[in-house]
Amino acid sequence: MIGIVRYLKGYVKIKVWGYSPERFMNLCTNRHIVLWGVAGCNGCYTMYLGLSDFFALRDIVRKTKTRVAVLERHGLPFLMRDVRKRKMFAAGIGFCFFFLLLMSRFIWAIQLEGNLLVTDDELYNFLAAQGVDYGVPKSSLKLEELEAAIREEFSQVTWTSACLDGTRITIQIKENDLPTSQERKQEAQKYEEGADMVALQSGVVASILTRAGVPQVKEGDAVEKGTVLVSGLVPVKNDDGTVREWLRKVADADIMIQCEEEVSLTQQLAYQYKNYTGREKTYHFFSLGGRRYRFPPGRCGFVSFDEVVEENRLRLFGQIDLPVETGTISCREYLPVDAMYDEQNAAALLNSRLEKIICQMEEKGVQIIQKDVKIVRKANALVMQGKLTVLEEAVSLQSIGEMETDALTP
Amino acid sequence: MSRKKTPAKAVKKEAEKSTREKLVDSLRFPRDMMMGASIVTVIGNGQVLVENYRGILEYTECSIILQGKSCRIAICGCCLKIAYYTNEDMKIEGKISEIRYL
Repeated sequence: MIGIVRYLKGYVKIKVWGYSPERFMNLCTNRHIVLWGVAGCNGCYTMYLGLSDFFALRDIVRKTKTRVAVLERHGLPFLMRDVRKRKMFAAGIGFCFFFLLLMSRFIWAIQLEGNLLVTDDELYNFLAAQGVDYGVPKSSLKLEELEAAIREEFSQVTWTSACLDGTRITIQIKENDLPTSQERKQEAQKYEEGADMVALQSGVVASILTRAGVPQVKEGDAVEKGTVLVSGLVPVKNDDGTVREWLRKVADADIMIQCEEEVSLTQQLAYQYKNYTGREKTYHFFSLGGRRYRFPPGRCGFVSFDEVVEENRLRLFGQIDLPVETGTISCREYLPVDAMYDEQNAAALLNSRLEKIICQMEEKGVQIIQKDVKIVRKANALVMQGKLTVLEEAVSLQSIGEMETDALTP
Repeated sequence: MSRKKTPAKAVKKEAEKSTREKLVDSLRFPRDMMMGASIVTVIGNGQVLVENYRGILEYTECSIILQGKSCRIAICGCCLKIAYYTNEDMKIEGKISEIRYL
């Protein structure tokens, strides 16, 4: 802080020599002249003092029979004097600050967070329609109305937040993973006439627990794909046991079917890998208006290479986003090399692929009961063949057909 | 007419001093204010802060002699520089080897 005040007022570095420099310093302090950075060397003394104090030295110099010479000049008063000779430079700095101030009043970056179901393009288009786009004045934004509009437009969005950070607007979104009321309504309309539950896989019924509808199978029954497991037509009987009418319901049940899944995986023994030569070329670039300008220009000259791009948005003072991206492109040369897996490694690769498939099935709620696979060599490849015995809820709803209902009409 | 102090007068003045000191001590007044004693604060062997002095008597790269109210203070070392020098206090920087009261 003291440094800033000194800079604004201006200060000089002086050299003092002569009869009694010590008395010179004492008289300075007696007259409330602050000295700093005092250093002595070979009978001469150098020190700093304020610009206004410098003009009060004449009397002291005469009294102490010393001589004073100015070595350096610092501070704003001297800068202003120099600036008078470079008017255009000063005007340029002023214009630069004015331009920054002006540009900081507009939106130069839009950031979207948390959207999975609603795509970025959809949101950008919607924001543009709402008047939120690059180069829009910040003062024209009504964030609360924008939040409400997003929630209204996208039914999946349950919560939104729009906030301004410098020249960037950040839209945060939370989406609802559960089916929306509209989707539920559509589902209900689809099965308005009732629905049967049918098997999606051939197998054996391992368990059945019916909540709605009439079960057509029991535990241990073998079923084919498409077999009706639970009927959505519920008979209403008379006292004599005859069917008076059929009620249409959407069948609902927990049914586990034990079925077999075919597995067939092939791993070629021949493969190609990248042998990096260690040669690398790095280019700097900046992107403006969708075009990328690379320095030095020209091709890298490698036949086969990987390109790694590191891109950063240019930002002033960590706040003001500019519509310019800068970064580096690294081109790493490699030579494609043909190689062969031995059978052991190829088998390990096949096993790992099978494990991955099993993991994916388990994530979907499928239980693996038995794994019966074998690996055989066929020409230049290893083939994994076999079947997995699984327990899964392989059922779906199917609308009750017109034919069926006509036949059942009493 | 000679103004030389007789031994008796010198002893009396010493007695007065001690009385004043006793008074300051008994009333618990700060000695630097009442007696004009210099305050020398030494930080490591690189910085010395001095308050309550009258002026600089001698300044070289190896020694700085200051005039206090009751005594002189010699600060010896090498590469001695005065970081700031005001009417109230001063800060000396350098490699300090010795501080003496003359």
